[in-house]
Amino acid sequence: MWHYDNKRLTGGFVIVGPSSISNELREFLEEHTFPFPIFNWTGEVFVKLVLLCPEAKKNWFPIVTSSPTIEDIHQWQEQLWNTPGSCYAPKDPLSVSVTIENDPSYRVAYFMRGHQLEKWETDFEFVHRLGLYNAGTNPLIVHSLSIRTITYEPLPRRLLVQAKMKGKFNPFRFIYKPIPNNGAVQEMLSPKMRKLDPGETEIHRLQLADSAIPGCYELEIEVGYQANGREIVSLPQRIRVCVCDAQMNSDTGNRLSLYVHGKHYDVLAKLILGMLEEKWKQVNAKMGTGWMVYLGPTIFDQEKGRQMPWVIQRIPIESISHEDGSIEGNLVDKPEILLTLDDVWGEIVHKGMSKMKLLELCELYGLDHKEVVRNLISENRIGR
Amino acid sequence: MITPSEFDKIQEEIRSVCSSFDDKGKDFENIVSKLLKELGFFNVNGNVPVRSLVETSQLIVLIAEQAFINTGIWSAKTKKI
Repeated sequence: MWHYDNKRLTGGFVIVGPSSISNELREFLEEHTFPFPIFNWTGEVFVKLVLLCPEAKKNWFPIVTSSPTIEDIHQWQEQLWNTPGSCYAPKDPLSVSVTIENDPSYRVAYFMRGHQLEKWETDFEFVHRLGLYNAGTNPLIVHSLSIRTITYEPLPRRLLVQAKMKGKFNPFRFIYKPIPNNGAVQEMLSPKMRKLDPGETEIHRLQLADSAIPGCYELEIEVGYQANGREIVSLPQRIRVCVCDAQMNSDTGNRLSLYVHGKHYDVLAKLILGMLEEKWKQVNAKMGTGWMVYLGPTIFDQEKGRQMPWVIQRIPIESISHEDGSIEGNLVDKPEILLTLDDVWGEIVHKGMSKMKLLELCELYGLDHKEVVRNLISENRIGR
Repeated sequence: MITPSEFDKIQEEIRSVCSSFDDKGKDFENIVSKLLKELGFFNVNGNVPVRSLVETSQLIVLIAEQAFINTGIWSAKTKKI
Protein backbone atom coordinates (compact mmCIF):
# COMPACT_ATOMS: atom_id res chain seq x y z
CA MET A 1 0.00 0.00 0.00
CA TRP A 2 1.65 3.25 -1.05
CA HIS A 3 1.44 6.64 -2.66
CA TYR A 4 3.87 9.50 -3.08
CA ASP A 5 1.62 12.36 -4.07
CA ASN A 6 -1.97 12.99 -5.03
CA LYS A 7 -1.22 14.46 -8.44
CA ARG A 8 -0.65 11.24 -10.29
CA LEU A 9 -2.69 8.09 -10.75
CA THR A 10 -0.34 5.66 -9.09
CA GLY A 11 -2.50 2.62 -8.52
CA GLY A 12 -4.50 1.54 -11.50
CA PHE A 13 -7.67 1.80 -13.52
CA VAL A 14 -10.33 -0.87 -13.09
CA ILE A 15 -13.04 -1.93 -15.52
CA VAL A 16 -15.81 -3.85 -13.76
CA GLY A 17 -18.91 -5.47 -15.19
CA PRO A 18 -20.88 -8.73 -15.25
CA SER A 19 -20.39 -9.00 -19.06
CA SER A 20 -17.00 -9.44 -20.70
CA ILE A 21 -15.38 -6.56 -22.56
CA SER A 22 -15.49 -6.36 -26.35
CA ASN A 23 -12.63 -7.61 -28.55
CA GLU A 24 -12.09 -4.01 -29.69
CA LEU A 25 -11.45 -2.88 -26.12
CA ARG A 26 -9.32 -5.94 -25.38
CA GLU A 27 -7.06 -5.10 -28.34
CA PHE A 28 -6.83 -1.51 -27.14
CA LEU A 29 -5.84 -2.60 -23.63
CA GLU A 30 -3.20 -5.00 -24.94
CA GLU A 31 -1.47 -2.09 -26.69
CA HIS A 32 -2.12 0.69 -24.14
CA THR A 33 0.68 3.14 -23.40
CA PHE A 34 -0.68 4.65 -20.19
CA PRO A 35 1.74 4.80 -17.26
CA PHE A 36 -0.47 2.69 -14.95
CA PRO A 37 -1.94 -0.83 -15.02
CA ILE A 38 -5.50 -1.31 -16.26
CA PHE A 39 -7.44 -4.14 -14.63
CA ASN A 40 -10.18 -5.97 -16.50
CA TRP A 41 -12.46 -7.52 -13.91
CA THR A 42 -15.42 -8.42 -16.08
CA GLY A 43 -17.32 -11.64 -16.91
CA GLU A 44 -16.02 -14.59 -14.87
CA VAL A 45 -13.50 -12.42 -13.08
CA PHE A 46 -16.34 -10.20 -11.84
CA VAL A 47 -17.90 -13.26 -10.22
CA LYS A 48 -14.60 -13.99 -8.51
CA LEU A 49 -14.39 -10.36 -7.40
CA VAL A 50 -17.81 -10.61 -5.76
CA LEU A 51 -16.87 -13.86 -4.03
CA LEU A 52 -13.64 -12.29 -2.76
CA CYS A 53 -15.60 -9.50 -1.04
CA PRO A 54 -17.83 -11.18 1.59
CA GLU A 55 -19.34 -7.94 2.93
CA ALA A 56 -20.47 -6.67 -0.47
CA LYS A 57 -21.66 -10.17 -1.41
CA LYS A 58 -23.76 -10.43 1.75
CA ASN A 59 -25.37 -7.02 1.23
CA TRP A 60 -25.92 -7.03 -2.51
CA PHE A 61 -26.01 -10.69 -3.57
CA PRO A 62 -27.64 -12.50 -0.62
CA ILE A 63 -28.89 -15.09 -3.10
CA VAL A 64 -25.29 -16.32 -3.47
CA THR A 65 -24.52 -18.52 -0.50
CA SER A 66 -21.33 -20.26 -1.70
CA SER A 67 -17.98 -19.11 -0.35
CA PRO A 68 -14.56 -19.70 -1.87
CA THR A 69 -12.00 -21.95 -0.21
CA ILE A 70 -8.55 -20.73 0.82
CA GLU A 71 -7.11 -22.25 -2.39
CA ASP A 72 -9.74 -20.41 -4.48
CA ILE A 73 -8.89 -17.14 -2.75
CA HIS A 74 -5.15 -17.44 -3.40
CA GLN A 75 -5.69 -18.44 -7.03
CA TRP A 76 -8.28 -15.72 -7.78
CA GLN A 77 -6.31 -13.05 -5.98
CA GLU A 78 -3.34 -13.80 -8.24
CA GLN A 79 -5.63 -13.77 -11.28
CA LEU A 80 -7.13 -10.37 -10.40
CA TRP A 81 -3.82 -8.60 -9.91
CA ASN A 82 -1.32 -10.34 -12.13
CA THR A 83 -2.81 -12.52 -14.87
CA PRO A 84 -2.70 -11.27 -18.49
CA GLY A 85 -6.27 -10.58 -19.58
CA SER A 86 -7.18 -9.44 -16.05
CA CYS A 87 -4.26 -7.03 -15.70
CA TYR A 88 -2.82 -5.00 -18.58
CA ALA A 89 0.48 -3.66 -17.28
CA PRO A 90 2.05 -0.51 -18.71
CA LYS A 91 4.50 -1.10 -21.53
CA ASP A 92 7.14 1.07 -19.88
CA PRO A 93 6.45 0.03 -16.31
CA LEU A 94 8.85 2.26 -14.35
CA SER A 95 7.29 5.49 -13.14
CA VAL A 96 9.90 8.09 -12.22
CA SER A 97 9.18 11.25 -10.28
CA VAL A 98 11.55 14.03 -9.28
CA THR A 99 10.17 16.52 -6.77
CA ILE A 100 12.03 19.13 -4.77
CA GLU A 101 12.31 18.20 -1.10
CA ASN A 102 12.12 21.68 0.37
CA ASP A 103 9.22 23.44 -1.30
CA PRO A 104 9.40 26.40 -1.21
CA SER A 105 13.18 26.44 -1.05
CA TYR A 106 15.08 28.01 1.81
CA ARG A 107 17.12 30.17 -0.55
CA VAL A 108 16.25 31.66 -3.92
CA ALA A 109 18.67 33.43 -6.28
CA TYR A 110 17.52 36.38 -8.37
CA PHE A 111 19.32 37.92 -11.31
CA MET A 112 18.46 39.80 -14.50
CA ARG A 113 18.75 38.49 -18.05
CA GLY A 114 18.24 41.58 -20.13
CA HIS A 115 14.98 42.98 -18.74
CA GLN A 116 13.79 39.57 -17.53
CA LEU A 117 13.92 38.78 -13.80
CA GLU A 118 15.24 35.24 -13.22
CA LYS A 119 14.36 33.31 -10.05
CA TRP A 120 16.35 30.11 -9.46
CA GLU A 121 16.82 27.65 -6.62
CA THR A 122 20.29 27.88 -5.12
CA ASP A 123 22.65 25.03 -4.23
CA PHE A 124 21.84 25.45 -0.53
CA GLU A 125 20.27 22.09 0.44
CA PHE A 126 19.27 21.53 -3.19
CA VAL A 127 17.69 18.12 -2.72
CA HIS A 128 15.06 16.25 -4.74
CA ARG A 129 13.00 13.19 -3.92
CA LEU A 130 13.50 10.54 -6.57
CA GLY A 131 10.49 8.19 -6.76
CA LEU A 132 10.85 4.87 -8.61
CA TYR A 133 7.66 2.83 -8.96
CA ASN A 134 7.31 -0.45 -10.82
CA ALA A 135 3.75 -0.39 -12.20
CA GLY A 136 4.33 -3.62 -14.13
CA THR A 137 3.68 -7.25 -13.26
CA ASN A 138 7.32 -8.41 -13.51
CA PRO A 139 10.44 -7.35 -11.59
CA LEU A 140 12.65 -4.78 -13.31
CA ILE A 141 16.29 -3.84 -12.85
CA VAL A 142 17.24 -0.16 -12.67
CA HIS A 143 20.86 0.04 -13.79
CA SER A 144 21.41 3.67 -14.63
CA LEU A 145 20.66 7.04 -13.13
CA SER A 146 22.23 9.90 -15.03
CA ILE A 147 22.13 13.67 -15.00
CA ARG A 148 22.73 15.60 -18.21
CA THR A 149 23.67 19.28 -18.34
CA ILE A 150 21.35 20.94 -20.86
CA THR A 151 22.90 24.40 -20.53
CA TYR A 152 25.61 25.91 -18.39
CA GLU A 153 26.68 29.53 -17.99
CA PRO A 154 28.86 31.24 -15.40
CA LEU A 155 27.24 33.15 -12.56
CA PRO A 156 25.81 36.52 -13.57
CA ARG A 157 27.75 39.57 -12.38
CA ARG A 158 24.90 40.76 -10.18
CA LEU A 159 23.15 38.25 -7.95
CA LEU A 160 20.65 38.52 -5.11
CA VAL A 161 19.86 35.64 -2.77
CA GLN A 162 16.85 35.66 -0.45
CA ALA A 163 17.20 33.14 2.37
CA LYS A 164 14.69 31.66 4.77
CA MET A 165 15.66 29.90 7.97
CA LYS A 166 16.32 26.24 7.23
CA GLY A 167 14.16 23.44 8.52
CA LYS A 168 14.64 19.71 8.97
CA PHE A 169 17.44 17.77 7.40
CA ASN A 170 17.26 14.26 5.98
CA PRO A 171 20.68 12.68 5.36
CA PHE A 172 19.75 9.70 3.09
CA ARG A 173 20.70 10.73 -0.46
CA PHE A 174 22.55 10.32 -3.77
CA ILE A 175 25.21 13.01 -4.14
CA TYR A 176 25.92 14.38 -7.63
CA LYS A 177 28.20 17.01 -9.11
CA PRO A 178 26.88 18.20 -12.49
CA ILE A 179 29.40 18.72 -15.28
CA PRO A 180 29.62 22.35 -16.46
CA ASN A 181 29.55 21.42 -20.16
CA ASN A 182 26.39 21.37 -22.26
CA GLY A 183 25.29 17.82 -23.02
CA ALA A 184 27.67 16.21 -20.50
CA VAL A 185 26.21 13.30 -18.53
CA GLN A 186 27.09 12.15 -15.03
CA GLU A 187 26.13 8.63 -13.94
CA MET A 188 25.06 8.26 -10.30
CA LEU A 189 24.00 4.63 -9.89
CA SER A 190 25.95 2.32 -12.24
CA PRO A 191 27.58 -0.20 -11.70
CA LYS A 192 25.23 -0.63 -8.74
CA MET A 193 21.60 -1.54 -9.43
CA ARG A 194 18.18 -1.38 -7.79
CA LYS A 195 15.67 -4.23 -8.14
CA LEU A 196 12.04 -3.22 -7.89
CA ASP A 197 9.45 -5.93 -7.45
CA PRO A 198 5.97 -5.35 -8.91
CA GLY A 199 4.18 -2.67 -6.93
CA GLU A 200 7.35 -1.70 -5.09
CA THR A 201 8.30 1.94 -4.52
CA GLU A 202 11.61 3.44 -3.49
CA ILE A 203 12.01 7.09 -2.51
CA HIS A 204 15.58 8.40 -2.65
CA ARG A 205 17.20 11.80 -2.30
CA LEU A 206 19.24 13.47 -5.02
CA GLN A 207 21.59 16.03 -3.55
CA LEU A 208 23.92 18.44 -5.24
CA ALA A 209 27.53 18.05 -4.08
CA ASP A 210 29.04 20.89 -2.04
CA SER A 211 31.92 20.94 -4.51
CA ALA A 212 29.71 21.73 -7.55
CA ILE A 213 31.26 24.37 -9.81
CA PRO A 214 29.44 27.74 -9.52
CA GLY A 215 27.08 28.59 -12.36
CA CYS A 216 23.50 28.22 -13.56
CA TYR A 217 22.65 24.66 -14.57
CA GLU A 218 19.61 23.28 -16.33
CA LEU A 219 19.65 19.54 -15.77
CA GLU A 220 17.73 16.48 -16.90
CA ILE A 221 17.38 13.34 -14.80
CA GLU A 222 16.94 10.05 -16.63
CA VAL A 223 16.57 6.53 -15.33
CA GLY A 224 17.67 3.58 -17.45
CA TYR A 225 16.19 0.17 -16.69
CA GLN A 226 15.53 -3.30 -17.99
CA ALA A 227 12.00 -4.67 -17.93
CA ASN A 228 10.34 -7.50 -19.83
CA GLY A 229 13.63 -8.15 -21.66
CA ARG A 230 13.86 -4.60 -23.00
CA GLU A 231 16.19 -1.67 -22.35
CA ILE A 232 14.14 1.42 -21.54
CA VAL A 233 15.08 4.98 -20.59
CA SER A 234 12.52 7.00 -18.63
CA LEU A 235 11.21 10.34 -19.83
CA PRO A 236 13.69 13.00 -18.61
CA GLN A 237 12.74 15.09 -15.57
CA ARG A 238 14.06 18.64 -15.76
CA ILE A 239 15.42 20.68 -12.83
CA ARG A 240 17.61 23.78 -12.65
CA VAL A 241 19.93 25.26 -10.07
CA CYS A 242 22.03 28.37 -9.55
CA VAL A 243 25.18 27.17 -7.74
CA CYS A 244 26.26 30.31 -5.91
CA ASP A 245 26.39 29.63 -2.16
CA ALA A 246 30.20 29.69 -1.95
CA GLN A 247 30.42 32.79 -4.14
CA MET A 248 28.19 35.12 -2.17
CA ASN A 249 31.03 36.80 -0.26
CA SER A 250 33.26 37.37 -3.29
CA ASP A 251 32.10 40.70 -4.77
CA THR A 252 30.31 42.91 -2.24
CA GLY A 253 29.01 45.28 -4.91
CA ASN A 254 27.34 42.49 -6.86
CA ARG A 255 26.60 39.73 -4.37
CA LEU A 256 23.95 40.19 -1.72
CA SER A 257 22.32 37.58 0.51
CA LEU A 258 19.36 38.72 2.60
CA TYR A 259 17.19 36.76 5.00
CA VAL A 260 13.43 36.80 4.48
CA HIS A 261 10.71 35.59 6.79
CA GLY A 262 7.82 33.56 5.45
CA LYS A 263 8.18 34.21 1.72
CA HIS A 264 10.45 35.34 -1.09
CA TYR A 265 9.71 38.77 -2.59
CA ASP A 266 9.99 38.75 -6.37
CA VAL A 267 8.98 42.38 -6.95
CA LEU A 268 11.42 43.67 -4.35
CA ALA A 269 14.13 41.51 -5.91
CA LYS A 270 13.79 43.36 -9.19
CA LEU A 271 14.00 46.67 -7.35
CA ILE A 272 17.13 45.65 -5.41
CA LEU A 273 18.85 44.19 -8.47
CA GLY A 274 18.48 47.64 -10.05
CA MET A 275 20.21 49.47 -7.18
CA LEU A 276 23.69 50.97 -7.37
CA GLU A 277 26.71 48.87 -6.46
CA GLU A 278 27.50 51.30 -3.62
CA LYS A 279 24.21 50.48 -1.93
CA TRP A 280 24.96 46.76 -2.14
CA LYS A 281 28.40 47.40 -0.63
CA GLN A 282 26.75 49.51 2.07
CA VAL A 283 24.42 46.64 3.04
CA ASN A 284 27.20 44.05 2.86
CA ALA A 285 29.39 46.18 5.10
CA LYS A 286 26.68 46.07 7.78
CA MET A 287 26.64 42.29 7.86
CA GLY A 288 28.68 40.47 10.42
CA THR A 289 28.70 37.52 12.77
CA GLY A 290 26.58 39.40 15.31
CA TRP A 291 23.80 40.43 12.91
CA MET A 292 21.15 39.00 10.61
CA VAL A 293 20.14 41.20 7.70
CA TYR A 294 16.50 40.91 6.56
CA LEU A 295 14.63 42.02 3.51
CA GLY A 296 11.13 43.03 4.60
CA PRO A 297 9.70 41.97 7.95
CA THR A 298 11.60 39.97 10.53
CA ILE A 299 10.13 37.19 12.62
CA PHE A 300 9.30 39.78 15.30
CA ASP A 301 7.44 42.03 12.84
CA GLN A 302 5.35 39.09 11.67
CA GLU A 303 4.54 37.77 15.12
CA LYS A 304 3.60 41.18 16.47
CA GLY A 305 1.66 42.03 13.30
CA ARG A 306 3.67 45.24 12.86
CA GLN A 307 3.20 47.17 9.64
CA MET A 308 6.75 47.73 8.43
CA PRO A 309 7.89 50.11 5.74
CA TRP A 310 9.70 48.17 3.00
CA VAL A 311 13.24 48.05 4.27
CA ILE A 312 16.47 46.17 4.47
CA GLN A 313 17.08 45.95 8.18
CA ARG A 314 19.39 44.10 10.50
CA ILE A 315 18.69 42.65 13.91
CA PRO A 316 21.32 41.70 16.46
CA ILE A 317 22.18 38.21 17.61
CA GLU A 318 22.79 38.16 21.34
CA SER A 319 25.19 35.55 22.70
CA ILE A 320 23.99 33.57 25.69
CA SER A 321 26.63 31.71 27.72
CA HIS A 322 25.58 28.59 29.57
CA GLU A 323 27.08 27.20 32.76
CA ASP A 324 28.59 24.28 30.84
CA GLY A 325 30.58 26.71 28.71
CA SER A 326 28.44 26.43 25.56
CA ILE A 327 27.26 29.58 23.80
CA GLU A 328 23.97 30.02 21.98
CA GLY A 329 22.78 32.81 19.71
CA ASN A 330 19.47 34.57 20.29
CA LEU A 331 17.78 37.02 17.91
CA VAL A 332 16.89 40.32 19.55
CA ASP A 333 14.06 42.62 18.51
CA LYS A 334 16.16 45.76 18.00
CA PRO A 335 15.97 46.38 14.27
CA GLU A 336 18.32 48.81 12.60
CA ILE A 337 17.13 50.11 9.23
CA LEU A 338 19.86 49.94 6.59
CA LEU A 339 17.88 50.93 3.50
CA THR A 340 14.28 51.94 2.89
CA LEU A 341 12.50 50.79 -0.20
CA ASP A 342 9.66 53.32 0.00
CA ASP A 343 9.56 53.90 -3.70
CA VAL A 344 8.63 50.27 -4.33
CA TRP A 345 4.93 51.20 -4.35
CA GLY A 346 5.67 53.97 -6.84
CA GLU A 347 7.27 51.32 -9.03
CA ILE A 348 4.48 48.81 -8.92
CA VAL A 349 1.23 50.66 -8.13
CA HIS A 350 -0.24 52.74 -10.91
CA LYS A 351 -3.53 54.31 -11.87
CA GLY A 352 -5.82 51.89 -13.59
CA MET A 353 -4.45 48.89 -11.68
CA SER A 354 -7.24 46.39 -11.08
CA LYS A 355 -8.53 45.79 -7.56
CA MET A 356 -7.64 42.12 -7.91
CA LYS A 357 -4.04 42.99 -8.76
CA LEU A 358 -3.85 45.39 -5.81
CA LEU A 359 -5.33 42.76 -3.50
CA GLU A 360 -2.72 40.30 -4.79
CA LEU A 361 0.09 42.76 -4.05
CA CYS A 362 -1.23 43.43 -0.54
CA GLU A 363 -1.31 39.70 0.04
CA LEU A 364 2.28 39.44 -1.22
CA TYR A 365 3.48 42.21 1.06
CA GLY A 366 1.34 41.21 4.03
CA LEU A 367 -0.45 44.57 4.08
CA ASP A 368 -3.98 45.50 5.07
CA HIS A 369 -5.80 45.96 1.79
CA LYS A 370 -8.32 48.61 2.97
CA GLU A 371 -5.65 50.76 4.58
CA VAL A 372 -3.42 50.54 1.50
CA VAL A 373 -6.28 51.60 -0.77
CA ARG A 374 -7.13 54.52 1.59
CA ASN A 375 -3.51 55.71 1.61
CA LEU A 376 -3.07 55.37 -2.13
CA ILE A 377 -6.26 57.35 -2.79
CA SER A 378 -5.14 60.11 -0.36
CA GLU A 379 -1.78 60.27 -2.12
CA ASN A 380 -3.58 60.40 -5.48
CA ARG A 381 -1.63 57.29 -6.60
CA ILE A 382 -4.83 55.51 -7.69
CA GLY A 383 -8.34 56.68 -8.56
CA ARG A 384 -11.35 56.32 -6.25
CA MET B 1 -13.03 -25.75 -4.07
CA ILE B 2 -15.92 -24.38 -6.06
CA THR B 3 -16.55 -26.69 -9.00
CA PRO B 4 -17.07 -25.36 -12.56
CA SER B 5 -20.78 -26.16 -12.47
CA GLU B 6 -21.17 -24.42 -9.09
CA PHE B 7 -19.29 -21.45 -10.51
CA ASP B 8 -21.62 -21.28 -13.55
CA LYS B 9 -24.63 -21.34 -11.21
CA ILE B 10 -23.17 -18.50 -9.10
CA GLN B 11 -22.47 -16.49 -12.25
CA GLU B 12 -26.11 -16.87 -13.33
CA GLU B 13 -27.31 -15.76 -9.88
CA ILE B 14 -25.06 -12.71 -9.97
CA ARG B 15 -26.18 -11.79 -13.48
CA SER B 16 -29.83 -12.07 -12.50
CA VAL B 17 -29.26 -9.70 -9.57
CA CYS B 18 -27.37 -7.25 -11.84
CA SER B 19 -30.19 -7.31 -14.41
CA SER B 20 -32.57 -6.00 -11.73
CA PHE B 21 -30.44 -2.89 -11.15
CA ASP B 22 -31.66 0.51 -12.35
CA ASP B 23 -31.01 1.53 -15.96
CA LYS B 24 -28.95 4.59 -15.07
CA GLY B 25 -26.30 2.42 -13.48
CA LYS B 26 -26.48 4.03 -10.04
CA ASP B 27 -27.00 0.72 -8.24
CA PHE B 28 -24.10 -0.80 -10.11
CA GLU B 29 -21.85 2.19 -9.37
CA ASN B 30 -22.69 1.76 -5.71
CA ILE B 31 -21.87 -1.94 -5.61
CA VAL B 32 -18.64 -1.52 -7.60
CA SER B 33 -17.60 1.22 -5.21
CA LYS B 34 -18.26 -1.13 -2.27
CA LEU B 35 -16.42 -4.03 -3.94
CA LEU B 36 -13.32 -1.99 -4.76
CA LYS B 37 -13.30 -0.42 -1.31
CA GLU B 38 -13.47 -3.86 0.27
CA LEU B 39 -10.57 -4.84 -1.99
CA GLY B 40 -8.49 -1.94 -0.71
CA PHE B 41 -8.87 0.80 -3.32
CA PHE B 42 -9.35 4.33 -2.06
CA ASN B 43 -8.77 7.93 -3.01
CA VAL B 44 -8.01 11.04 -0.96
CA ASN B 45 -11.53 11.12 0.49
CA GLY B 46 -11.50 7.44 1.39
CA ASN B 47 -14.02 6.78 -1.40
CA VAL B 48 -13.75 4.95 -4.69
CA PRO B 49 -14.71 7.08 -7.70
CA VAL B 50 -16.84 5.06 -10.08
CA ARG B 51 -18.41 6.05 -13.41
CA SER B 52 -20.82 3.82 -15.30
CA LEU B 53 -20.43 3.88 -19.07
CA VAL B 54 -22.03 2.06 -21.95
CA GLU B 55 -19.90 2.85 -24.98
CA THR B 56 -16.36 1.50 -25.30
CA SER B 57 -15.23 4.82 -26.78
CA GLN B 58 -16.43 6.61 -23.63
CA LEU B 59 -14.41 4.20 -21.56
CA ILE B 60 -11.24 4.78 -23.57
CA VAL B 61 -11.66 8.54 -23.20
CA LEU B 62 -12.16 8.11 -19.45
CA ILE B 63 -8.99 6.01 -19.13
CA ALA B 64 -7.09 8.65 -21.08
CA GLU B 65 -8.44 11.36 -18.79
CA GLN B 66 -7.12 9.51 -15.78
CA ALA B 67 -3.64 9.59 -17.27
CA PHE B 68 -3.56 13.36 -17.49
CA ILE B 69 -6.02 14.87 -15.06
CA ASN B 70 -5.31 15.36 -11.40
CA THR B 71 -7.72 12.79 -10.02
CA GLY B 72 -6.27 12.20 -6.59
CA ILE B 73 -7.08 8.51 -6.94
CA TRP B 74 -4.84 6.13 -5.08
CA SER B 75 -5.13 2.39 -4.86
CA ALA B 76 -3.85 -0.48 -2.83
CA LYS B 77 -3.69 -4.21 -2.69
CA THR B 78 -5.72 -5.11 0.31
CA LYS B 79 -4.80 -7.20 3.29
CA LYS B 80 -8.42 -8.23 3.64
CA ILE B 81 -8.56 -10.86 0.92
